[in-house]
Amino acid sequence: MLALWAGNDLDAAAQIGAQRHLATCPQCRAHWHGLQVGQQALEQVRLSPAGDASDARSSEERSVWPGVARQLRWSEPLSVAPGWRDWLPVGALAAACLAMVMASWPQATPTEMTEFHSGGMPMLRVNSAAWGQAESLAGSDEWAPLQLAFPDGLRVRTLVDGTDVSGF
Amino acid sequence: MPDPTTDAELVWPPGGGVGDARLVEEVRHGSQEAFEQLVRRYEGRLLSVLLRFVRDRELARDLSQETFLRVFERIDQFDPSRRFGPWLFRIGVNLALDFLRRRKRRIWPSLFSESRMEKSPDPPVSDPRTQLDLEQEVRKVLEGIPEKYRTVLILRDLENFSTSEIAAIMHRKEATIRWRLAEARSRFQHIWTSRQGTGTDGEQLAGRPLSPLDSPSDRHASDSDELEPDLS
Repeated sequence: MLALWAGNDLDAAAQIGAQRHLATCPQCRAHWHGLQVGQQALEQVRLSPAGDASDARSSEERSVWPGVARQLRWSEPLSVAPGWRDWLPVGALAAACLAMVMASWPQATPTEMTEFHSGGMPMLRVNSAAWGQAESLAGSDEWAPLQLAFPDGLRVRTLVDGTDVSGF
Repeated sequence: MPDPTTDAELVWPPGGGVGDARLVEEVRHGSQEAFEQLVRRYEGRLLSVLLRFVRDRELARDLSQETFLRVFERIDQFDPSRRFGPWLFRIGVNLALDFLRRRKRRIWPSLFSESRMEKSPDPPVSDPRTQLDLEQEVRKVLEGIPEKYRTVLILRDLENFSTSEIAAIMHRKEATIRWRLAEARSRFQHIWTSRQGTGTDGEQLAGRPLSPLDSPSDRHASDSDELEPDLS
């Protein structure tokens, strides 16, 4: 406590307590005086900072900045070749696009179409594998009117009121 | 005696300039000008602190330069919620202490080990009016104090940092720093008195506080490396 007080690091309340004790304790008084002598020596040294006054160079000459700046290695993001991690977002986007194209791609090239004419409404189904199946589906909600440009070589069966009129 | 009211200005330079945190952020985004501002803001204070430890201007400049290079290398590790100053000084003080340890091992491998210093500081000189001036005498006494106390004493009584700032620099609780400071001053006083030849018999045992008001008591662990009382 006395040592903190000697360096002005004790709050007022603690100082009062220490003062009261000093008044009754010769041993602490001797220690207190010794501490003050030591603090005076440190204070004198503190007030004569080592070297600053003796250094006659200008502040620019004294600055360590030029030496520091020479050794700094600044990263330049624009001139640095990107690593493989930099390509990750691009790759992910490309993969996503590819997946979407694959999903929307027809599962098989249409080789056959079936055309129904029922009640004057032309109905088509692509890749109807079995003739009987196509018939059974006629008129259900799965069918919709289609306007298609048929590719070359595509066979089209035409049923009119259940009768195949395709001619092949 | 140090005036605690001026400490803040001494450590964290005043003025209307850009704050440290902003400059650090700009350095992180590649601004060399911002780092130059930080260097110029702190280099004088840092050099003064380093000189207290190594007492050689050119060496202190080298250490100062090395400190700023380390700061730059680790700028991404700096926690922006904390103050930049203590972090900078911690790096600088640690560099200085590391240098002194290496030099001591190289030059005096056995004679001046820390344990020897702690147990047996320089013997009292018969004639206090030697050729050594006050500064050299203080330096001699400081060399007789263990590093962890000496560091606190230098930062507080020679460089005028507040105890809270020293706590931030040394990454310790302020209560620990205050205890170390009290211990350091007592040890300094005992060695100083004995070297001046004015000490009593009991005071020849440097480093052992004699006053009841300064006797360490209620020791328990408050630090990682040793037992110290928590004065909080």
